[in-house]
Amino acid sequence: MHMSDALVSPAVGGVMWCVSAGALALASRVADGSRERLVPAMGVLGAFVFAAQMINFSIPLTGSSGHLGGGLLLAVILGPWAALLTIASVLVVQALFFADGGLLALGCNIFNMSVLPCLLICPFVYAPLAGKEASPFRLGLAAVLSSVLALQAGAFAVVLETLCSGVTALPFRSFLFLMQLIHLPIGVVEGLATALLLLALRRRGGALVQALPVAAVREESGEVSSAAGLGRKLAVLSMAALVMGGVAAWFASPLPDGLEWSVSGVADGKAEVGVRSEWASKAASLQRVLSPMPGYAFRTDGIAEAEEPPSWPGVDLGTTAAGVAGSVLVALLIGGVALMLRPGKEGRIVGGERR
Amino acid sequence: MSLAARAWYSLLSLESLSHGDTPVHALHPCAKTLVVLAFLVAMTGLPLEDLPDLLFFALYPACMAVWSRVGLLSIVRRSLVALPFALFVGLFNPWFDEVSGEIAGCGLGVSRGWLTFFGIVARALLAAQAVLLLVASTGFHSLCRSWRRLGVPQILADQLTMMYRALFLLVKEAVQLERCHEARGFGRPLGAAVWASLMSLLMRRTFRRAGNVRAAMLCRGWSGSFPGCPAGVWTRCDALFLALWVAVFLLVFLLRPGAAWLVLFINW
Repeated sequence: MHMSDALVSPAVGGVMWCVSAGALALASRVADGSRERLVPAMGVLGAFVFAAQMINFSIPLTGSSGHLGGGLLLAVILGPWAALLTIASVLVVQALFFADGGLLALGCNIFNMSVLPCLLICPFVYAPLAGKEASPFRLGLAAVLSSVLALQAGAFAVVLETLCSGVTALPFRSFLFLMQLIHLPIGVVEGLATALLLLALRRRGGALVQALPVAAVREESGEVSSAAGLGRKLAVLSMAALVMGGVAAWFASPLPDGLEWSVSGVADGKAEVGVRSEWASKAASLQRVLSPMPGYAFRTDGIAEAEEPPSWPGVDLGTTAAGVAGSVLVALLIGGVALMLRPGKEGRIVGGERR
Repeated sequence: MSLAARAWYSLLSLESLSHGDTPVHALHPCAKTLVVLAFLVAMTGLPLEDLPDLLFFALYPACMAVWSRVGLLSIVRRSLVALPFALFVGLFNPWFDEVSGEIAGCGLGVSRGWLTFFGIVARALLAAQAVLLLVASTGFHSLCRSWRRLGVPQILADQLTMMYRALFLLVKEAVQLERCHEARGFGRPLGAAVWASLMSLLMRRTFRRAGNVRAAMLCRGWSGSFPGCPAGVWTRCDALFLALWVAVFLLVFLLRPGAAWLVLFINW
């Protein structure tokens, strides 16, 4: 799923770079307080994931092989923020040394393979499913389901990014179907690999994990217990935002809004006033070039479509994609700004004590 | 050669190439990083079917390979890794892009879908070559140190440095584990159960190593970040290198001399 630079436009690559950079900055701030304990563990575990990805195991009756992904495993061991940084580092090394994924597309790859599994799937899917002291079957099921969902989400993001870049002529539905289909068995295999390792880790004893400095850090900061309550609320609000942006948007009225109605009344039925300054025209051209999804729909450069009367509900995959993408971008932007504006370390209360 | 062994070889060879002594190696890592970013942005900003202008962009990896005395063929061979996914995405263009034209003079038909397909493949290769040449002429540690100046958080830069060092150790262990299995496996493929056992062993060694590394670093006064080693002094040569190449990329992007040739010879 590593996207090369040929598959993204500068606009999409730039936007995803901003999103991923924001997530990385956030993760750096969260992990910074425990840097002394985290960095050695992150470095070595990142190298472990990289090395483990080099060794494939054969899948019977298929003639193919699979390997460990690593995002979910690291999120369980290190916590989501440290895992985000670690997987991002693995992707950087893969892009620089092995041309596996481009530098311009690195923002997309970090979002698809690090942000989604570590910040979305692990806390909201794996953690509730696996719980504490889960049976091997339940842990395995949680790992497989989470891996499948993480890969499906990543594949969906790849399709959106490629389509918004205008690289492929493949229709959205066909591309999405192919990508989701291909990544389904890959997700199952990765989930099984992750489950096997987590079970091995548990069988070797919690002592092995407790020996890792990060476990003590997570307990000290009260991160796990306080995060659960906040996490549930965030999950509900996030789902509501995604449903509103992705589905409820179909039911928006197709009739002109107040401004458009007023303008059409003034400009003899036209939606826009005809006279425009040169600068306004240049700005409009720039906006058309830079916007990945103009008009809350997929770009249709060079393809003239017949004007149809607006239908209601306006079921359109472009609208869904724009709603979901916009919700995610806004949430990340606000979260990033909020984190930057919060009080410094002296004013922060951690685990009931002011530190 | 197994995947792990190839990864090991690739890491070692690129690391050794970065110790060269050429004018390109002496350039500031930030300058080279910014030129590569400008290269990628300008190249991916061209229309997909604009193949002739890609020839101008191909000058950059060719020049860098010659000036840094890094074998261009080996870089091209390494860049082939970027092909599979690009091929998968671009392969459908000839069938779904129905716009076609005629080559002036000979009347031969040409499909825009095929031009965009070759455009995607060429860009994937050129982008990969530019990035590989950046690492081959700079070195990973220098890059990580210089990226601090470009705004990369300290913890991420430290994590990259730690991981890079640990990579050499763990990939070598992975190669040894694979060899042990090959020697004892009588040609049997690596099944899931054996894989889990090997990974469990590698993980235990990893955890033990993480603890040892941290203890060793604490004994040496580790306080949470590596001491700030300067990434080099910015000189006029660095500014000139950056300005010249960015100007070239900007000119090709804005003027598109190759696209004019395309319009001359193909009637869409």
